Amino acid sequence: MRYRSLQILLIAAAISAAAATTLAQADPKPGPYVPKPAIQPAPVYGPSTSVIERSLPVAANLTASLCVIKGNVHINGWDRKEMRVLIKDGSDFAFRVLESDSDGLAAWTTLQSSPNGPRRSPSSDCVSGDRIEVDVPFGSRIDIKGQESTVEVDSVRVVKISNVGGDASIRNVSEGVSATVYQGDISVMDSSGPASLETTTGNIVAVDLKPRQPGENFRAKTNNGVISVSGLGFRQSEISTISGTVSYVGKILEGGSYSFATTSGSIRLELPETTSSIIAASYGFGGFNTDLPMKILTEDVSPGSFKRVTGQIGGGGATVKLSTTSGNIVIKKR
Amino acid sequence: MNGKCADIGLIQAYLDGELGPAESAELTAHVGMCELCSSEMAEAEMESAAVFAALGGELDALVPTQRLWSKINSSIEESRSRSLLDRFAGFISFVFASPSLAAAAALLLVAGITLTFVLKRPDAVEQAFAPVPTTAESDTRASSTGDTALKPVSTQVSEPADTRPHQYDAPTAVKASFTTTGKPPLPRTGTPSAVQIQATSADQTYQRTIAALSATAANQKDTLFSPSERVAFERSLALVDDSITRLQAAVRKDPKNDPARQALYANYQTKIDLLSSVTQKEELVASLK
Repeated sequence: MRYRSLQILLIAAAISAAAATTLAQADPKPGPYVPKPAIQPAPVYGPSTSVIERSLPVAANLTASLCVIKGNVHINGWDRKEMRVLIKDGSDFAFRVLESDSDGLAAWTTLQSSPNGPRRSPSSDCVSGDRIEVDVPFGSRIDIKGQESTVEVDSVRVVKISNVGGDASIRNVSEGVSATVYQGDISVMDSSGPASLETTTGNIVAVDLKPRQPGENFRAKTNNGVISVSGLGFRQSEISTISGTVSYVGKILEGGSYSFATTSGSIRLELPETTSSIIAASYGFGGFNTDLPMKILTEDVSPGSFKRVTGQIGGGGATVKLSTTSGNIVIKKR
Repeated sequence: MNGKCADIGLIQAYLDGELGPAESAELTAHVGMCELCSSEMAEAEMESAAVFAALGGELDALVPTQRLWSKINSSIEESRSRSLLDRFAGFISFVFASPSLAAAAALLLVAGITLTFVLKRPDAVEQAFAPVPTTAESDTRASSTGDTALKPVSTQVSEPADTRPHQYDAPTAVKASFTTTGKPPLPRTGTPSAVQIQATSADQTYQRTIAALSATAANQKDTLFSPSERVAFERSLALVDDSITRLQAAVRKDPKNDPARQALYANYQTKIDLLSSVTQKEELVASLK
């Protein structure tokens, strides 16, 4: 019995030694078990203190499309048939010409993020940078989409901005402005052409805007914010906010149609004494007051109801609709 | 939360993204209608923005976020749930990596088998080993009964309830109490009184459109909006809803009140535009990717 046990022990020892030899040959130094780190280190896109500048010969009536993830964008018109782009501390980029004119100059170009950029967004062709400067011919049309960018545009022909977050500042645009911002302010100055300004949360300031052709409209709308308009030359204007005050300083042009509306906020107009307009004011909770002499045409201001006042200032050559649910309507003499 | 102001801790928890969907919805609905809470939230958000701006990228790199904590916790849970077999396999591979350790293991195996055979003989048990008394103080792994002193003791150490080094504690602000400001919230549409209105076909068309857009917006706004945007959105929605309710009452009271009806339709349109802005923003964000 004891010899039998000894045999079994020897066999077990031999098997163990053989297994050890095999494993040792297969992996000389496997080391102890170390669990893999659960969190991979984040990719590093910087640091970078770079300035990348490129230029492209373009047509005088260039259309330039830009997509910006993040950055401060400055776009300026200049008197050269050349588009120059400078990006500081941001993505490398390349021009992509979509259309050329008969002279072979780029008529429609877009910026595209280059894969070699130090801070290239891993999931987008859009560029980014601390400062993005773009110079284009005066006659250019600029189309910008932005995610988190402040945009300044000066002296171009047409501007269209769609920005998720960030302010937009526009001036000296000759043939039209369209700006849609979801969180940020919009300011437009000294421009002409149809204007459509819309922000979800932010203020709108428009100064000295006028149509380029008869029939063009001005539209300003915000959900939360103040709208301040002065020196408007449009005959058709629509200005509205849900929560905020509407302020208008300027003329009511003959034959014009103006609409000012706010759900919760006041409407304040400063008009010249020579104003000639039909005023239709409706308000729920608040008051109506005018410094200009107004002939009451219809009036229903009984307590508790939605109040309405229709009156005529001067000859009544234009129509001004004023509407607020909670707020005052005030017309001041300028 | 109706009629009560939110605790600043709760607002901070919301800004930090620590509230659940239901709590977030309740808070934003309240803040949208409450001036005091709205200003408190704006102030808190500005403070947070100032702190984040000051710390910049360092904060992003050094301070673990909620998502990071989730990854850490899930990693720990994963390692806990590793099977005993995996651990044994790891041990075996470690042991057999060195020939000397393998030889030692073989000797142990031989000794164990020998011992088994010897202990199988009843008369040999008493000769070979006398019971060794052990105490809990001397060896906490030992059984309290002396006759089983040599039984294999489980090496599976019972883990404490939670050994995670940085267990994220939900802020107590979630459970914070509220103080009454005495300012009642504005009424919202959808209440029976608002629904009871005798709607015209135009009303019904508007309301159907609004209902469809509301369902879409409700699914999208949580992912699209930042805290302040969402509060602003809810605030705007509350204002428009309040205006609609009031105008519906005015029209119901005087069906010939055309200015009120026009204002009502204008407010319907405003609400449609507001709800549509959610989808429009989603489209813009999608186009940037």
